[in-house]
Amino acid sequence: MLGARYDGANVDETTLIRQAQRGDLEAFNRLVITYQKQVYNLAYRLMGDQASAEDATQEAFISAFRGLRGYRGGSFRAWLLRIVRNACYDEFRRRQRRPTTSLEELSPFNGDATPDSIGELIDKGEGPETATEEAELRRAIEDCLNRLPLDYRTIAVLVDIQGYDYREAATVIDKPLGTVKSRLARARARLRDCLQQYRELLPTAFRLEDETRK
Amino acid sequence: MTKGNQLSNRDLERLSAYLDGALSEKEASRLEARLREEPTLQQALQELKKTAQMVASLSEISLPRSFTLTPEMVGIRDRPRIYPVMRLATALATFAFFAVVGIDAITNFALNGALAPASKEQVAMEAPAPAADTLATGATPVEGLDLEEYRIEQEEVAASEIAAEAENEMDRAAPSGVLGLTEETQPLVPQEGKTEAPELPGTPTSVASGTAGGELAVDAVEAEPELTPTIEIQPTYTPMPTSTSIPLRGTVQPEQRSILRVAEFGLGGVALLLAGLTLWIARKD
Repeated sequence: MLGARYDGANVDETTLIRQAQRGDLEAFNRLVITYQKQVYNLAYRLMGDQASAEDATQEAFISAFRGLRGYRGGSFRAWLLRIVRNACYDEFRRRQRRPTTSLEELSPFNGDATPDSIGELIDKGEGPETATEEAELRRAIEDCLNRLPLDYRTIAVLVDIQGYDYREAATVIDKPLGTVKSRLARARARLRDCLQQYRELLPTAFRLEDETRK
Repeated sequence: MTKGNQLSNRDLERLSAYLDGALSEKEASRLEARLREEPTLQQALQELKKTAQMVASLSEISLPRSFTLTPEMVGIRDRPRIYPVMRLATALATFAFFAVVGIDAITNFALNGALAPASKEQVAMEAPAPAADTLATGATPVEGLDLEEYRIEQEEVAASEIAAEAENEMDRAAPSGVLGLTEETQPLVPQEGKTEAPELPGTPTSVASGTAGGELAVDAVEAEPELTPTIEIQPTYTPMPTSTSIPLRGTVQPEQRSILRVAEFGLGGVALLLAGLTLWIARKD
Protein backbone atom coordinates (compact mmCIF):
# COMPACT_ATOMS: atom_id res chain seq x y z
CA MET A 1 0.00 0.00 0.00
CA LEU A 2 1.78 3.07 1.20
CA GLY A 3 5.47 3.69 0.88
CA ALA A 4 8.30 1.32 0.25
CA ARG A 5 7.65 -2.25 1.22
CA TYR A 6 10.47 -4.23 2.75
CA ASP A 7 10.92 -7.86 2.24
CA GLY A 8 13.33 -8.92 4.94
CA ALA A 9 12.37 -12.57 4.84
CA ASN A 10 15.27 -14.80 4.09
CA VAL A 11 15.21 -18.51 3.54
CA ASP A 12 18.36 -18.93 5.62
CA GLU A 13 17.42 -16.35 8.21
CA THR A 14 16.66 -18.85 10.95
CA THR A 15 19.97 -20.60 10.34
CA LEU A 16 21.85 -17.33 10.35
CA ILE A 17 20.19 -16.27 13.57
CA ARG A 18 21.08 -19.58 15.21
CA GLN A 19 24.68 -19.27 14.08
CA ALA A 20 24.85 -15.69 15.25
CA GLN A 21 23.43 -16.70 18.60
CA ARG A 22 26.42 -19.00 18.96
CA GLY A 23 28.72 -16.03 18.42
CA ASP A 24 29.20 -16.27 14.66
CA LEU A 25 29.79 -12.63 13.74
CA GLU A 26 29.92 -13.38 10.04
CA ALA A 27 26.44 -14.87 10.13
CA PHE A 28 25.19 -11.85 12.06
CA ASN A 29 26.76 -9.50 9.52
CA ARG A 30 24.75 -11.18 6.79
CA LEU A 31 21.65 -10.29 8.77
CA VAL A 32 22.99 -6.76 9.15
CA ILE A 33 23.40 -6.49 5.39
CA THR A 34 19.82 -7.67 4.93
CA TYR A 35 18.25 -5.23 7.37
CA GLN A 36 20.62 -2.30 7.70
CA LYS A 37 18.75 -0.13 5.21
CA GLN A 38 15.45 -0.50 7.05
CA VAL A 39 17.08 0.01 10.43
CA TYR A 40 18.98 3.07 9.25
CA ASN A 41 15.88 4.57 7.60
CA LEU A 42 13.88 4.28 10.78
CA ALA A 43 16.77 5.81 12.74
CA TYR A 44 17.11 8.61 10.22
CA ARG A 45 13.42 9.43 10.26
CA LEU A 46 13.33 9.42 14.04
CA MET A 47 16.57 11.30 14.64
CA GLY A 48 16.28 13.71 11.72
CA ASP A 49 19.97 13.84 10.85
CA GLN A 50 22.52 11.53 9.34
CA ALA A 51 25.14 11.55 12.09
CA SER A 52 22.67 10.71 14.87
CA ALA A 53 21.03 8.09 12.69
CA GLU A 54 24.39 6.44 12.00
CA ASP A 55 25.22 6.34 15.68
CA ALA A 56 21.84 4.90 16.61
CA THR A 57 22.01 2.28 13.85
CA GLN A 58 25.49 1.13 14.79
CA GLU A 59 24.62 1.05 18.44
CA ALA A 60 21.48 -0.92 17.68
CA PHE A 61 23.34 -3.60 15.74
CA ILE A 62 25.94 -3.95 18.47
CA SER A 63 23.19 -4.26 21.07
CA ALA A 64 21.38 -6.75 18.87
CA PHE A 65 24.44 -8.96 18.55
CA ARG A 66 25.12 -8.88 22.27
CA GLY A 67 21.48 -9.51 23.13
CA LEU A 68 20.79 -12.03 20.42
CA ARG A 69 20.16 -14.78 22.95
CA GLY A 70 17.16 -12.78 24.06
CA TYR A 71 15.54 -13.15 20.66
CA ARG A 72 12.74 -15.68 21.06
CA GLY A 73 11.44 -16.01 17.54
CA GLY A 74 8.87 -13.98 15.66
CA SER A 75 9.71 -11.25 13.21
CA PHE A 76 13.44 -10.70 13.38
CA ARG A 77 13.03 -7.44 11.50
CA ALA A 78 10.56 -6.15 14.09
CA TRP A 79 12.97 -7.24 16.83
CA LEU A 80 15.78 -5.26 15.21
CA LEU A 81 13.59 -2.23 14.61
CA ARG A 82 12.52 -2.24 18.21
CA ILE A 83 16.17 -2.13 19.27
CA VAL A 84 16.96 0.81 17.01
CA ARG A 85 13.79 2.56 18.08
CA ASN A 86 14.87 2.14 21.71
CA ALA A 87 18.34 3.43 20.85
CA CYS A 88 16.77 6.54 19.34
CA TYR A 89 14.53 7.05 22.35
CA ASP A 90 17.52 6.71 24.66
CA GLU A 91 19.36 9.35 22.67
CA PHE A 92 16.38 11.68 22.90
CA ARG A 93 16.20 11.14 26.64
CA ARG A 94 19.87 12.02 26.91
CA ARG A 95 19.20 15.18 24.97
CA GLN A 96 16.18 15.85 27.10
CA ARG A 97 18.31 16.04 30.22
CA ARG A 98 20.14 19.02 28.80
CA PRO A 99 17.37 21.20 27.34
CA THR A 100 14.03 21.61 29.10
CA THR A 101 11.70 19.94 26.63
CA SER A 102 9.45 16.98 27.21
CA LEU A 103 9.83 13.72 25.36
CA GLU A 104 6.43 14.18 23.73
CA GLU A 105 7.48 17.45 22.21
CA LEU A 106 10.97 16.41 21.28
CA SER A 107 11.81 16.78 17.66
CA PRO A 108 14.83 17.93 15.72
CA PHE A 109 12.88 21.04 14.85
CA ASN A 110 11.18 23.60 17.03
CA GLY A 111 7.52 22.71 17.36
CA ASP A 112 6.58 26.40 17.29
CA ALA A 113 7.91 26.94 13.81
CA THR A 114 6.31 29.89 12.13
CA PRO A 115 5.74 30.49 8.44
CA ASP A 116 8.89 32.61 8.58
CA SER A 117 10.95 29.74 9.80
CA ILE A 118 9.45 27.47 7.18
CA GLY A 119 10.31 29.96 4.49
CA GLU A 120 13.78 30.11 5.91
CA LEU A 121 13.98 26.37 5.75
CA ILE A 122 13.08 26.33 2.10
CA ASP A 123 15.44 29.17 1.30
CA LYS A 124 18.28 27.15 2.74
CA GLY A 125 17.95 24.88 -0.25
CA GLU A 126 18.02 25.77 -3.85
CA GLY A 127 15.44 28.52 -3.39
CA PRO A 128 11.73 28.64 -4.28
CA GLU A 129 12.40 29.77 -7.79
CA THR A 130 14.93 27.18 -8.77
CA ALA A 131 13.92 24.28 -6.58
CA THR A 132 11.65 21.74 -8.13
CA GLU A 133 8.20 21.40 -6.75
CA GLU A 134 8.95 17.86 -5.73
CA ALA A 135 11.97 18.83 -3.65
CA GLU A 136 9.99 21.52 -1.88
CA LEU A 137 7.22 19.12 -1.11
CA ARG A 138 9.70 16.59 0.26
CA ARG A 139 11.25 19.16 2.57
CA ALA A 140 7.84 20.28 3.75
CA ILE A 141 6.78 16.74 4.53
CA GLU A 142 10.02 16.03 6.35
CA ASP A 143 9.61 19.18 8.35
CA CYS A 144 6.07 18.29 9.38
CA LEU A 145 7.15 14.76 10.20
CA ASN A 146 9.94 16.03 12.37
CA ARG A 147 7.59 18.24 14.30
CA LEU A 148 5.50 15.32 15.41
CA PRO A 149 5.91 14.02 18.91
CA LEU A 150 8.29 11.08 18.91
CA ASP A 151 5.64 8.43 19.55
CA TYR A 152 3.46 9.70 16.68
CA ARG A 153 6.41 10.09 14.39
CA THR A 154 7.51 6.53 15.03
CA ILE A 155 4.14 5.13 14.00
CA ALA A 156 3.85 7.40 10.97
CA VAL A 157 7.30 6.32 9.76
CA LEU A 158 6.66 2.63 10.40
CA VAL A 159 3.25 2.49 8.72
CA ASP A 160 3.16 5.29 6.15
CA ILE A 161 6.80 5.42 5.08
CA GLN A 162 8.15 1.94 5.72
CA GLY A 163 4.83 0.25 5.00
CA TYR A 164 4.62 -2.17 7.93
CA ASP A 165 1.22 -3.44 8.97
CA TYR A 166 -0.32 -2.57 12.31
CA ARG A 167 0.70 -5.83 13.91
CA GLU A 168 4.38 -5.47 13.11
CA ALA A 169 4.32 -1.81 14.10
CA ALA A 170 2.79 -2.88 17.42
CA THR A 171 5.65 -5.31 17.91
CA VAL A 172 8.20 -2.60 17.22
CA ILE A 173 6.73 -0.12 19.67
CA ASP A 174 5.78 -2.89 22.08
CA LYS A 175 2.21 -1.63 22.42
CA PRO A 176 -1.22 -3.05 21.62
CA LEU A 177 -2.87 -2.67 18.22
CA GLY A 178 -5.30 -0.09 19.58
CA THR A 179 -2.40 2.18 20.47
CA VAL A 180 -1.04 1.88 16.96
CA LYS A 181 -4.43 2.82 15.49
CA SER A 182 -4.97 5.84 17.69
CA ARG A 183 -1.41 7.14 17.40
CA LEU A 184 -1.44 6.75 13.64
CA ALA A 185 -4.75 8.60 13.33
CA ARG A 186 -3.47 11.47 15.42
CA ALA A 187 -0.18 11.55 13.58
CA ARG A 188 -1.97 11.78 10.24
CA ALA A 189 -4.26 14.50 11.53
CA ARG A 190 -1.29 16.55 12.76
CA LEU A 191 0.56 16.03 9.51
CA ARG A 192 -2.50 17.15 7.60
CA ASP A 193 -2.73 20.32 9.67
CA CYS A 194 0.98 20.95 9.36
CA LEU A 195 0.97 20.50 5.60
CA GLN A 196 -1.88 23.01 5.36
CA GLN A 197 0.60 25.61 6.58
CA TYR A 198 2.68 24.91 3.52
CA ARG A 199 -0.27 25.42 1.24
CA GLU A 200 0.67 29.10 0.95
CA LEU A 201 4.22 28.26 0.08
CA LEU A 202 3.54 25.25 -2.06
CA PRO A 203 0.21 26.03 -3.68
CA THR A 204 0.47 23.56 -6.51
CA ALA A 205 1.63 20.64 -4.48
CA PHE A 206 -0.85 20.73 -1.70
CA ARG A 207 -4.48 21.09 -2.64
CA LEU A 208 -6.49 19.04 -0.28
CA GLU A 209 -9.44 21.38 -0.31
CA ASP A 210 -9.38 21.61 -4.09
CA GLU A 211 -9.45 17.83 -4.43
CA THR A 212 -12.27 17.40 -2.02
CA ARG A 213 -14.34 19.88 -3.93
CA LYS A 214 -14.05 17.97 -7.17
CA MET B 1 -9.12 24.33 7.10
CA THR B 2 -11.89 21.81 6.63
CA LYS B 3 -14.56 20.43 8.84
CA GLY B 4 -12.46 17.33 9.10
CA ASN B 5 -10.75 19.08 11.99
CA GLN B 6 -13.95 18.83 13.95
CA LEU B 7 -14.06 15.09 13.75
CA SER B 8 -14.21 13.22 16.97
CA ASN B 9 -11.14 11.18 17.81
CA ARG B 10 -13.23 8.06 17.34
CA ASP B 11 -14.18 9.00 13.78
CA LEU B 12 -10.61 10.03 13.05
CA GLU B 13 -9.35 6.62 14.13
CA ARG B 14 -12.04 4.90 12.09
CA LEU B 15 -11.15 6.85 8.96
CA SER B 16 -7.44 6.23 9.45
CA ALA B 17 -7.95 2.50 9.98
CA TYR B 18 -10.36 2.38 7.06
CA LEU B 19 -7.62 3.75 4.80
CA ASP B 20 -5.39 0.86 5.79
CA GLY B 21 -8.13 -1.74 5.54
CA ALA B 22 -7.84 -2.34 9.27
CA LEU B 23 -11.55 -2.13 10.07
CA SER B 24 -13.70 -5.18 10.46
CA GLU B 25 -16.19 -5.87 7.69
CA LYS B 26 -19.08 -4.70 9.84
CA GLU B 27 -17.33 -1.49 10.89
CA ALA B 28 -16.25 -0.79 7.33
CA SER B 29 -19.75 -1.14 5.89
CA ARG B 30 -21.19 1.04 8.63
CA LEU B 31 -18.56 3.74 7.94
CA GLU B 32 -19.16 3.53 4.19
CA ALA B 33 -22.86 4.19 4.79
CA ARG B 34 -21.99 7.28 6.82
CA LEU B 35 -19.49 8.45 4.19
CA ARG B 36 -22.24 8.43 1.59
CA GLU B 37 -24.43 10.62 3.78
CA GLU B 38 -21.84 12.90 5.41
CA PRO B 39 -19.76 14.99 3.00
CA THR B 40 -17.60 16.37 5.81
CA LEU B 41 -16.66 12.86 6.77
CA GLN B 42 -15.89 12.08 3.16
CA GLN B 43 -13.76 15.22 2.92
CA ALA B 44 -11.86 14.28 6.06
CA LEU B 45 -11.20 10.85 4.61
CA GLN B 46 -9.78 12.36 1.44
CA GLU B 47 -7.56 14.71 3.40
CA LEU B 48 -6.19 11.88 5.49
CA LYS B 49 -5.63 9.80 2.39
CA LYS B 50 -3.76 12.58 0.64
CA THR B 51 -1.66 13.22 3.72
CA ALA B 52 -0.70 9.54 4.03
CA GLN B 53 0.19 9.41 0.36
CA MET B 54 2.40 12.46 0.64
CA VAL B 55 4.24 11.02 3.64
CA ALA B 56 4.63 7.72 1.82
CA SER B 57 6.13 9.53 -1.13
CA LEU B 58 9.26 10.27 0.87
CA SER B 59 12.03 8.36 -0.77
CA GLU B 60 14.11 5.81 1.00
CA ILE B 61 17.34 7.13 2.41
CA SER B 62 20.42 5.51 0.94
CA LEU B 63 22.97 4.09 3.34
CA PRO B 64 25.91 6.36 4.11
CA ARG B 65 28.02 3.31 4.91
CA SER B 66 27.81 -0.31 5.87
CA PHE B 67 26.93 -1.14 9.45
CA THR B 68 28.46 -4.60 9.55
CA LEU B 69 30.23 -5.24 12.81
CA THR B 70 33.89 -5.89 13.40
CA PRO B 71 35.15 -8.17 16.20
CA GLU B 72 36.50 -5.14 18.02
CA MET B 73 33.06 -3.49 18.08
CA VAL B 74 31.52 -6.39 19.95
CA GLY B 75 34.53 -7.15 22.12
CA ILE B 76 35.65 -10.28 20.29
CA ARG B 77 39.43 -10.60 20.34
CA ASP B 78 41.53 -12.80 18.15
CA ARG B 79 43.19 -15.29 20.41
CA PRO B 80 46.63 -16.71 19.69
CA ARG B 81 46.69 -19.96 17.79
CA ILE B 82 48.23 -21.71 20.74
CA TYR B 83 45.14 -21.02 22.83
CA PRO B 84 43.14 -24.10 21.79
CA VAL B 85 46.24 -26.27 22.25
CA MET B 86 46.76 -24.91 25.73
CA ARG B 87 43.14 -25.37 26.54
CA LEU B 88 43.27 -29.00 25.44
CA ALA B 89 46.49 -29.59 27.38
CA THR B 90 44.91 -28.10 30.49
CA ALA B 91 41.90 -30.35 30.13
CA LEU B 92 44.07 -33.43 29.65
CA ALA B 93 46.31 -32.61 32.59
CA THR B 94 43.30 -32.03 34.79
CA PHE B 95 41.75 -35.28 33.66
CA ALA B 96 45.00 -37.17 34.30
CA PHE B 97 45.29 -35.56 37.72
CA PHE B 98 41.84 -36.68 38.73
CA ALA B 99 42.45 -40.13 37.28
CA VAL B 100 45.57 -40.54 39.40
CA VAL B 101 43.79 -39.23 42.46
CA GLY B 102 41.06 -41.75 41.81
CA ILE B 103 43.51 -44.59 41.42
CA ASP B 104 45.27 -43.53 44.59
CA ALA B 105 41.99 -43.44 46.46
CA ILE B 106 41.08 -46.90 45.22
CA THR B 107 44.44 -48.38 46.11
CA ASN B 108 44.34 -46.71 49.49
CA PHE B 109 40.98 -48.27 50.08
CA ALA B 110 42.34 -51.66 49.08
CA LEU B 111 45.35 -51.18 51.31
CA ASN B 112 43.28 -50.16 54.28
CA GLY B 113 40.98 -53.10 53.72
CA ALA B 114 43.95 -55.45 53.89
CA LEU B 115 45.88 -53.48 56.44
CA ALA B 116 45.61 -55.82 59.40
CA PRO B 117 46.64 -58.99 57.59
CA ALA B 118 49.20 -57.09 55.65
CA SER B 119 50.99 -55.95 58.77
CA LYS B 120 51.00 -59.46 60.01
CA GLU B 121 52.42 -60.58 56.75
CA GLN B 122 55.00 -57.89 56.75
CA VAL B 123 56.30 -59.11 60.05
CA ALA B 124 56.06 -62.68 59.16
CA MET B 125 57.47 -62.50 55.71
CA GLU B 126 60.58 -60.73 56.77
CA ALA B 127 61.23 -62.84 59.76
CA PRO B 128 60.80 -66.32 58.34
CA ALA B 129 63.36 -65.75 55.67
CA PRO B 130 65.87 -67.80 57.56
CA ALA B 131 63.19 -70.21 58.73
CA ALA B 132 62.00 -71.17 55.31
CA ASP B 133 62.65 -74.81 55.84
CA THR B 134 60.71 -74.88 59.00
CA LEU B 135 57.79 -73.04 57.48
CA ALA B 136 57.80 -75.18 54.43
CA THR B 137 57.31 -78.22 56.54
CA GLY B 138 54.23 -76.70 58.06
CA ALA B 139 55.67 -75.84 61.43
CA THR B 140 54.70 -72.17 61.18
CA PRO B 141 52.29 -71.51 58.33
CA VAL B 142 51.99 -67.87 57.37
CA GLU B 143 49.16 -66.50 55.31
CA GLY B 144 49.80 -64.91 52.01
CA LEU B 145 53.38 -65.99 51.64
CA ASP B 146 54.75 -67.69 48.64
CA LEU B 147 56.68 -70.29 50.49
CA GLU B 148 58.00 -72.06 47.48
CA GLU B 149 59.69 -68.97 46.24
CA TYR B 150 60.98 -68.32 49.65
CA ARG B 151 62.40 -71.76 49.91
CA ILE B 152 64.27 -71.44 46.67
CA GLU B 153 65.87 -68.25 47.77
CA GLN B 154 66.84 -69.71 51.07
CA GLU B 155 68.30 -72.76 49.45
CA GLU B 156 70.50 -70.55 47.37
CA VAL B 157 71.72 -68.83 50.44
CA ALA B 158 72.27 -72.11 52.18
CA ALA B 159 74.43 -73.31 49.37
CA SER B 160 77.42 -71.55 50.81
CA GLU B 161 80.13 -73.43 52.64
CA ILE B 162 79.55 -71.47 55.76
CA ALA B 163 76.00 -72.64 55.84
CA ALA B 164 77.08 -76.21 55.69
CA GLU B 165 79.38 -75.81 58.63
CA ALA B 166 76.76 -74.06 60.63
CA GLU B 167 74.29 -76.80 59.94
CA ASN B 168 76.52 -79.38 61.43
CA GLU B 169 77.02 -77.43 64.53
CA MET B 170 73.35 -76.65 64.89
CA ASP B 171 72.42 -80.25 64.48
CA ARG B 172 74.53 -81.06 67.39
CA ALA B 173 73.45 -78.18 69.52
CA ALA B 174 69.70 -78.17 68.85
CA PRO B 175 68.30 -81.01 66.81
CA SER B 176 64.67 -80.16 67.41
CA GLY B 177 62.27 -79.01 64.72
CA VAL B 178 62.10 -75.61 66.26
CA LEU B 179 65.77 -75.16 66.08
CA GLY B 180 65.65 -76.12 62.48
CA LEU B 181 64.68 -72.52 62.00
CA THR B 182 68.13 -71.40 62.87
CA GLU B 183 69.86 -73.87 60.71
CA GLU B 184 69.54 -71.66 57.74
CA THR B 185 69.76 -68.37 59.44
CA GLN B 186 73.15 -69.14 60.62
CA PRO B 187 74.85 -69.11 57.26
CA LEU B 188 73.89 -65.50 56.88
CA VAL B 189 75.89 -64.61 59.95
CA PRO B 190 78.43 -67.37 59.87
CA GLN B 191 81.15 -65.98 62.06
CA GLU B 192 78.95 -65.32 65.01
CA GLY B 193 77.20 -68.59 64.69
CA LYS B 194 80.44 -70.44 64.64
CA THR B 195 81.90 -68.74 67.59
CA GLU B 196 78.90 -68.59 69.81
CA ALA B 197 77.43 -71.97 69.31
CA PRO B 198 80.06 -73.77 71.31
CA GLU B 199 79.75 -71.33 74.14
CA LEU B 200 76.13 -72.21 74.76
CA PRO B 201 75.87 -75.87 74.04
CA GLY B 202 72.68 -77.83 74.37
CA THR B 203 70.31 -74.89 74.38
CA PRO B 204 68.39 -73.21 71.62
CA THR B 205 69.46 -69.86 72.96
CA SER B 206 72.92 -70.46 71.77
CA VAL B 207 71.67 -70.84 68.26
CA ALA B 208 69.40 -67.88 68.50
CA SER B 209 72.05 -65.65 69.83
CA GLY B 210 74.33 -66.81 67.10
CA THR B 211 71.90 -65.85 64.39
CA ALA B 212 70.52 -62.71 65.85
CA GLY B 213 73.76 -61.54 67.27
CA GLY B 214 72.08 -59.70 70.16
CA GLU B 215 70.64 -60.00 73.59
CA LEU B 216 67.11 -59.47 72.36
CA ALA B 217 67.09 -62.65 70.44
CA VAL B 218 68.48 -64.57 73.38
CA ASP B 219 65.81 -63.33 75.74
CA ALA B 220 63.04 -63.99 73.31
CA VAL B 221 64.04 -67.48 72.61
CA GLU B 222 64.30 -68.20 76.27
CA ALA B 223 60.82 -66.90 76.86
CA GLU B 224 59.32 -68.81 73.96
CA PRO B 225 61.66 -71.52 73.14
CA GLU B 226 59.19 -73.73 71.33
CA LEU B 227 58.15 -72.17 68.10
CA THR B 228 58.12 -68.55 67.18
CA PRO B 229 61.48 -67.00 67.18
CA THR B 230 60.53 -65.41 63.91
CA ILE B 231 59.59 -62.06 65.32
CA GLU B 232 62.65 -61.78 67.41
CA ILE B 233 64.86 -62.77 64.59
CA GLN B 234 63.35 -60.23 62.30
CA PRO B 235 65.87 -57.47 62.98
CA THR B 236 68.66 -59.71 61.89
CA TYR B 237 67.28 -60.28 58.46
CA THR B 238 65.53 -57.13 57.54
CA PRO B 239 68.44 -55.93 55.42
CA MET B 240 68.22 -59.05 53.33
CA PRO B 241 67.01 -58.58 49.83
CA THR B 242 64.61 -61.46 50.24
CA SER B 243 62.34 -59.45 52.46
CA THR B 244 61.49 -57.01 49.69
CA SER B 245 61.39 -59.46 46.87
CA ILE B 246 58.43 -61.34 48.24
CA PRO B 247 55.31 -60.55 46.26
CA LEU B 248 52.20 -59.68 48.19
CA ARG B 249 48.86 -60.41 46.65
CA GLY B 250 46.02 -57.83 47.01
CA THR B 251 48.13 -55.08 48.50
CA VAL B 252 50.11 -52.14 47.18
CA GLN B 253 53.78 -51.79 47.65
CA PRO B 254 54.92 -48.61 49.36
CA GLU B 255 56.98 -47.77 46.28
CA GLN B 256 53.89 -47.82 44.10
CA ARG B 257 52.08 -45.60 46.54
CA SER B 258 54.86 -43.11 46.59
CA ILE B 259 54.91 -43.08 42.78
CA LEU B 260 51.20 -42.35 42.80
CA ARG B 261 51.71 -39.52 45.25
CA VAL B 262 54.44 -38.01 43.13
CA ALA B 263 52.25 -38.34 40.04
CA GLU B 264 49.39 -36.66 41.87
CA PHE B 265 51.47 -33.70 42.92
CA GLY B 266 53.11 -33.48 39.51
CA LEU B 267 49.91 -33.63 37.50
CA GLY B 268 48.12 -31.28 39.86
CA GLY B 269 50.91 -28.78 39.48
CA VAL B 270 51.00 -29.18 35.72
CA ALA B 271 47.23 -28.74 35.49
CA LEU B 272 47.36 -25.57 37.57
CA LEU B 273 50.28 -24.23 35.58
CA LEU B 274 48.57 -24.93 32.26
CA ALA B 275 45.31 -23.41 33.46
CA GLY B 276 47.15 -20.29 34.53
CA LEU B 277 48.94 -20.04 31.21
CA THR B 278 45.73 -20.60 29.27
CA LEU B 279 43.94 -17.87 31.18
CA TRP B 280 46.86 -15.56 30.66
CA ILE B 281 46.84 -16.22 26.92
CA ALA B 282 43.07 -15.72 26.79
CA ARG B 283 43.27 -12.38 28.54
CA LYS B 284 46.30 -11.15 26.75
CA ASP B 285 45.86 -8.18 24.36
